[in-house]
Amino acid sequence: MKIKVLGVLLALCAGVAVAATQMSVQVQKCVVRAKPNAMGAQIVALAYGDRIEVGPLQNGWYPVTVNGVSGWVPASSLSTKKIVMRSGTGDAATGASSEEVAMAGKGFNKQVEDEMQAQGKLDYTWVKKMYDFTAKEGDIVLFRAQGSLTGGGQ
Amino acid sequence: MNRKHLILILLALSLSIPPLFIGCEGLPEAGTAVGQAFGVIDDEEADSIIRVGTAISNAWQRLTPEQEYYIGRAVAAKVFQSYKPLDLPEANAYLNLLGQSLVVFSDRPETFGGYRFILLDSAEINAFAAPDGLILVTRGMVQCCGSEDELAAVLAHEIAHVVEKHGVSAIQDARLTNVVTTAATEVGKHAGGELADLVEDFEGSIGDITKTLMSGYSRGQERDADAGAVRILRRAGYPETALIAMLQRMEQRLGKTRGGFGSTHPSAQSRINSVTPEIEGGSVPASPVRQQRFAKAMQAVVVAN
Repeated sequence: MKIKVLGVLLALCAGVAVAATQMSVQVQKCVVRAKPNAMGAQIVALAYGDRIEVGPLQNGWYPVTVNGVSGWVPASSLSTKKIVMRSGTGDAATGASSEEVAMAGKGFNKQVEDEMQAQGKLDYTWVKKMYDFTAKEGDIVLFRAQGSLTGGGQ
Repeated sequence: MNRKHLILILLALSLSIPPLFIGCEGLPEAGTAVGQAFGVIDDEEADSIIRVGTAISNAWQRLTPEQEYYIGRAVAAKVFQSYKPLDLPEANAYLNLLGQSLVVFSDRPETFGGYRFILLDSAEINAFAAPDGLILVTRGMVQCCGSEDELAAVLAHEIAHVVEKHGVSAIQDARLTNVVTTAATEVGKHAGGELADLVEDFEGSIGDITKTLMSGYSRGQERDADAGAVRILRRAGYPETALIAMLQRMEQRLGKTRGGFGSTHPSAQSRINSVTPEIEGGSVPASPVRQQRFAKAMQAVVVAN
C-alpha cells in the first residue's frame, strides 16, 4: 500500500514538473499549427513576448494550448527567458538576471537603425521593399502541389 | 583618471585575461575586487561589471532574435552598396515562393522578421545570407542553375546559414560588450553616450559580418550549410542530389576563375565529397511544371543580362 501511495505521489510530482514550463515568443509572428509540421493548418498567431505554457519538446516542436485550443509551435520561435516589453525597467535592480529576462528593444534596436540612416551610413530603401515580398500560405501549398512536391515532410 | 575611465580599464582587464583561462569564472570578480579595495567603485557598480564580465563569453549567442533582425537588415543594406537589386517583380515573387516553400521545412521556420529573398543585378556567381533571413542571390548564380531543383539547393544552402546563425557568429565578442542583455542597461547608465557607443559597435558588427560574407565562411560552416541544405531539400520533397548537380555545374562555369562564390566557398569537388554521405533520400521524378515555371520566371533575368 505504502509503495502504491509513494508511486502515485511520484507520478503526480513528475506530471506537475512537466506541465509547468512557461516560454516566451521571441519572433514577431509565431503561428500555432494543428500538427508539428510547418505545413500544418494555422490555428492562431502569437505575438512577440507572449507567454505560453508548453509540453515536452518533440522533434523540434512544442505542444501548446492557447485559449483552450491545442497546437504546435516551432522550438526556434520560443525562449525560456521572459521578454520584458517596456524598456528602462532595470532588470538588475529588480534582482532578475539576464538568464531569466530579455529586454525587448535593448541593444541593437530601431533607434540604432534610425541613427545609421540619419547619419547617411546605410540606405534601407531596398531592405524595406524586401519585406513587401510576402508569399501567402495558400500560394505555397499550391506551388508545392503544382510542382509535385508532395513526397517530403519532417 | 576619473571613475568612468577606471571602470572601463577594469572592464578591459577583465576581458583581456580570460583567453588564457577560458572557463575560469573567478577572474571578473578578482578584477573588480581590486577596484573596490581602492575605494573607487561602489558595490552597485562592481555588480554591474561582474554581470558584464559574465555576459561576454560567447557573446553572439546571447544576441536576441530582435537584435539579430536589426543586424540582418543592416548587413543586407551594406550588401546593396556593392550589389544593386534586380527590380523584377515576377522573378522576385517566384524566388520568394520557392524560398518560402523551403523555409517551412528548416529547423528555424520562423525568424524575428521572417525570411525574404531578392535577386541582385550582378553576373558574378554568388549568394549572401544576412542574419534573420534576408537572402540575396545574384542573377549570375540563378543563370548558373539549370533547374528549379538546383536553385532550390542554392536557397536551401543560404537558409541553412541563417538557421545556424553563421552570420552573427562572425561578430567579434568585444563589440558586443555594450549590447548583450544587462550590459546595455548597466554599463550604459554609468559610461553615458549609450546610443553613440551602440552605433559604433553596430557598425563594427556589420563590418565583421559583411567581411565574412565577402571573404567566405569557414570550411566547417560551409559543410554544415550543405548538410543543412540536403535536409531541407529532402523534407521539402526536392531531390537532394540537386545540390551535387548545382555544385558540378558551378565548377564547370567557374573553371579556374576566381571571384564571387568560387573564392568564398571551398572547391565544388571537396563540397561534393563532404555532402555525399548526407544524401539518403530516394530519387524524385522530374517535374515539367517545375521546369516550366523556372524557365518562365528566369526569362526576365536572362533578358536583364
